[in-house]
Amino acid sequence: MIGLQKTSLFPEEILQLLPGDVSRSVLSCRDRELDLITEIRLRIGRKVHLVGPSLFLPVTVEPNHLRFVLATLTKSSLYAVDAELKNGFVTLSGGHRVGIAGKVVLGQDGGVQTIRDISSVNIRLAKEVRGSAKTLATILNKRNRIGSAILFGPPASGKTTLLRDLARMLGSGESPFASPMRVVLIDERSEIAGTVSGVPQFDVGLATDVLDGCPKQVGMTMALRSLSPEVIIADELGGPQDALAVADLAKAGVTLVGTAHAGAISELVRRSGMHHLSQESPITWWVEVSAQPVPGTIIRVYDSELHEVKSWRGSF
Amino acid sequence: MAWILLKWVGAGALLLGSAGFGFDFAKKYRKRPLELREMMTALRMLRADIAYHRLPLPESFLKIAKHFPEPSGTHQLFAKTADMLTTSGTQAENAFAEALGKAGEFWSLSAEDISALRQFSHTIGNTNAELQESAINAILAELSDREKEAVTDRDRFEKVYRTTGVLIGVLVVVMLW
Repeated sequence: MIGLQKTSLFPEEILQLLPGDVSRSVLSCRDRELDLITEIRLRIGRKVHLVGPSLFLPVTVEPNHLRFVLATLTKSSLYAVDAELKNGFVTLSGGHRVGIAGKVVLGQDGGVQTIRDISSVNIRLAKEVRGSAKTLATILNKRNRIGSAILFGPPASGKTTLLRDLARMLGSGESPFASPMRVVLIDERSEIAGTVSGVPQFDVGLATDVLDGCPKQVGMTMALRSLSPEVIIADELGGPQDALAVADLAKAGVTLVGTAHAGAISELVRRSGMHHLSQESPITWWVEVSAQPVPGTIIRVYDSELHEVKSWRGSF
Repeated sequence: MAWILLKWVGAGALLLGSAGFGFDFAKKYRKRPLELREMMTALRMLRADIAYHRLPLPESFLKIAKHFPEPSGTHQLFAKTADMLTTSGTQAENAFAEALGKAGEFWSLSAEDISALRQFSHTIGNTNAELQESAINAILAELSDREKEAVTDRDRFEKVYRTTGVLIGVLVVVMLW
């Protein structure tokens, strides 16, 4: 028996997803390496790649490996994950996300109909890092009120992990926040709270309500109407529609914390939706996140006018 | 005296056996339309789970299995498939086809009925909800035709087999007397 204790270190949902030989090979890694894994990548005809410890396992991926992963992932029911598959990924219980690449089939409307001949699978491990949002919380809590913020950075820079921990700190009223706030988490991709059958798999705070699988604009309206939020948290903002919804929130006096994919502030502003966001400036802080030296590191902070704030490390 | 008694007992046993065979054949004809209807109900439930609830197959199959009484073939088919799907990496089409083979002894469906279901198994879980729905509609239409045919067969043959069984028994007894 390989690593009985190790399985407790490693998410069970991921091990079940992997074909036997691959999971055995993953578990044969040292504990320290297992701990570092952020992604497990299976590419057809190539060796299994562990991102994080940057290892290639001695198992070559074959078509039946990918079929196994896909059957387990979809519970052999493609229709149940149809909508997610169109976006190129499926969220697993536990908040892990599985990205899929293959032959993209277009529908009559020109949109993605499905992906067939799957050629690679990227299993991204969701990690709960308690305390990771401490610095972010201090920034948001400046000027004696919670400021709205957009976290931005390249993919896999730790934005979602920060957001998850921030939800917990806000919702539980952890220092520097004085008391628990009513937080609504709009978790379109079930990635932040990792909700399974209504129960969040991660600690997202005592006073946090989760709108699971809900599109952001709809979720914001629903939350405003019925959940009386003080803070709304949403992942991956970016479309022009999002910008409008965010502007609405600001008018309603609700604080928003969200994320966006962008390498730098200039890229972010160039994207149409975000451009509107910065012009109407309901956003107090633009926070740049980097994967270096560790995912979730805040490297730069900009104010509502998009000027870099130099003194964010100190207490201003 | 003992000889006569033995003769009567033998004749009785022969008659019972022959009639039993006849009744058994007749039973198959009586049960087939009922089982086809049961299967169609199950498939309609599956269609609702897929088209409306987007429920994954393992959950839907388990639900359907519970709906039908234990020894029925429909129960066996859906329970066995759901059971196989709990093992990770199992594809629904393979599990369904395998369960079809195993459930065979529990029902009176004809080989053609089962081969129609086997054809249907190839699409199961493999497409989006709309196509799943149309595949289920197609198999339902086919089973509905088969059910009509099964009713005609039942009306025609059920009595025939029952009486034939008894008559052959009587004939043999008379010949051997």
